[in-house]
Amino acid sequence: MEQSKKPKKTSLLRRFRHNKPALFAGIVLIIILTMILFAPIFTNFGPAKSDLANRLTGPTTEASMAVGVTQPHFLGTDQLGRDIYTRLLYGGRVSLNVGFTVATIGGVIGVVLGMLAGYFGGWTDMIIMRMVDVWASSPTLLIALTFVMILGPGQKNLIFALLINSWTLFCRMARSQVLIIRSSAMVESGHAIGASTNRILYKHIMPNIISPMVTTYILELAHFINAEANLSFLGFGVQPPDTSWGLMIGEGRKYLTQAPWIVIFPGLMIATTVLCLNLIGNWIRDEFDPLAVKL
Amino acid sequence: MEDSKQPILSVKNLGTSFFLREGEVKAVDGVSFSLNKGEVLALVGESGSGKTVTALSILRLIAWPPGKIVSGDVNLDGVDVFKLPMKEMRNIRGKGIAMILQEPMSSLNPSQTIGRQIQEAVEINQGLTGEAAKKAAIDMLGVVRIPSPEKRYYNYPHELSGGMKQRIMIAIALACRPKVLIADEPTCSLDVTIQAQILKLMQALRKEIDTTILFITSDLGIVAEMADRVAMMYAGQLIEILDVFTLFESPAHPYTKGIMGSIMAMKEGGRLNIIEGDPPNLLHLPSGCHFHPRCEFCQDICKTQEPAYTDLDGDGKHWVRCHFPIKSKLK
Repeated sequence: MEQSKKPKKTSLLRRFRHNKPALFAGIVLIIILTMILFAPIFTNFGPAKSDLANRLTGPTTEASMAVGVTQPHFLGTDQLGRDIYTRLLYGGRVSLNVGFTVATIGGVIGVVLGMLAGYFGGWTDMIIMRMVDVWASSPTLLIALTFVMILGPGQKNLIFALLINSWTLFCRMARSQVLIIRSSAMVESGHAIGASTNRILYKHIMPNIISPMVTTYILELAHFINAEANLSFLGFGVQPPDTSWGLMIGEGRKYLTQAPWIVIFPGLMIATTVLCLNLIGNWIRDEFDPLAVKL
Repeated sequence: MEDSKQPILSVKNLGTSFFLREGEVKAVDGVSFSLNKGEVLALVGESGSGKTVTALSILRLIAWPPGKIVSGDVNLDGVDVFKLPMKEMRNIRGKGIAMILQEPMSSLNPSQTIGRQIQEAVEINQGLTGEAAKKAAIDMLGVVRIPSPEKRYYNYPHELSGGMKQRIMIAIALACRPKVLIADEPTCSLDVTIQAQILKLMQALRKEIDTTILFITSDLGIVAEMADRVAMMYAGQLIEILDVFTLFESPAHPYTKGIMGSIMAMKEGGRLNIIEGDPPNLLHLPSGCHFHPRCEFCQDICKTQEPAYTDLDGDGKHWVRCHFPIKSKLK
């Protein structure tokens, strides 16, 4: 097999194309992310700007004259006349921020601890894994709730509360993967040529556990976006006038019969985002699993 | 140190045990041998006789639990390996003793190019960096006869055949510039034609680079090709050390003779001689000489007393661990 000097890697994007649901999910997610990140470009309203004349208006294409902005309330307004569409974009920032922060920090801590536990075994393993057992044996939301109650509501405290449990799954996953690789001939031969422990951990073990970790990361991301929505719904997340998808549902709950759009649209956003993340997560898992049948 | 008689590696009374729930398994028990500069010593024995554990023990790569080196001294070119702190072992592994492992298929990191992996050994052990290290790595690919090394540098292990992977493993080991190379059944999972290629390569390299090799194998054909001297292992003990000509001429231990006898019988077209019985369970070793239940010359003393090493010819070249070493020559 004659190869060019630096062979092209099989493009991940090319393979992405063959999985229609994942491709679709990816596109939707990119649209959502762009709109959330560049919210001011996509809306003329402010997130807390009330249009009291048009309170609890349903989705409409007629521009409201009252606040001097020529943009219709596409998705209606809430009980204070705030534009749902605008609030979805700004609220999404909080939801995704919490999700990404918790999954990322938790992921890093979890993977590092899991690798140490798996690689060194013995007492290190014992201590780290018993900690994981203790944390993981109690329900995430209940622990988070307790902590938010103690620390007081707010975005930072919410992130902290969710972090307490978020590393455990990563830790378990990383440890089990490391256990498989640690005993392989590859690591043994690394030792045999005098490679240091650090080198073996970061050059030989880490690259080989990264794909299951990415899958876990994306699935956990979906999980924590959900968790944020749950806690905000209960009023333990960000506080008004800031908002998040969960809080929007929580606040709109009282008007469910008169103005269902207040609840429906943030609900749809959460569902769509989480679904997309799950689809992508599953695709990555299949893609990196050597035993899975490639379609 | 320049004296060629001075052994470069000497192993004395090495003992390694695995402590299992069922009891202590003496995988290596009182093994002593030495390697002179530039020679090839073959460590021969059936599977489970402790060859690989011996090699791993020399590098102190036995994982505790359950394994532990319980006794012995390893002296590499004047350095007492077992007395070094673990941190300094890294300087011994690679630069001092490099090892080629049994499984070329799984010994390479699938997520790195082979070039990078050779370069890693160069960087750790030769102190080169950047372009110089890369060039040295590409040179090593040429040394192990990989065609178009500049291109192959960028290949991943899955793009190579088994024989080529084993060449890469050899390249990695040699890139360490070791004083002693341990090759642990380097041809065991390769088919016969590739085996021949790898052996030919190793013989050529031996002349080119003048390394000292501890060659672990269970294939007597390979021993005849490669080795200067042979150390036979049985049930964790060294039972006979002799040079390769003596091995094929007049082995003294009944076990060695049994094995050699089976080859000789094949040559003459006769029936294959076999050694009756099974290798002993290391958890419940027979008393006295571990080989006595299978030995056709077994006497009472063999059942009760472990034999000591005897220097057969009085010149320190042929040692055997048997109460009644065989004096006669093979037919």
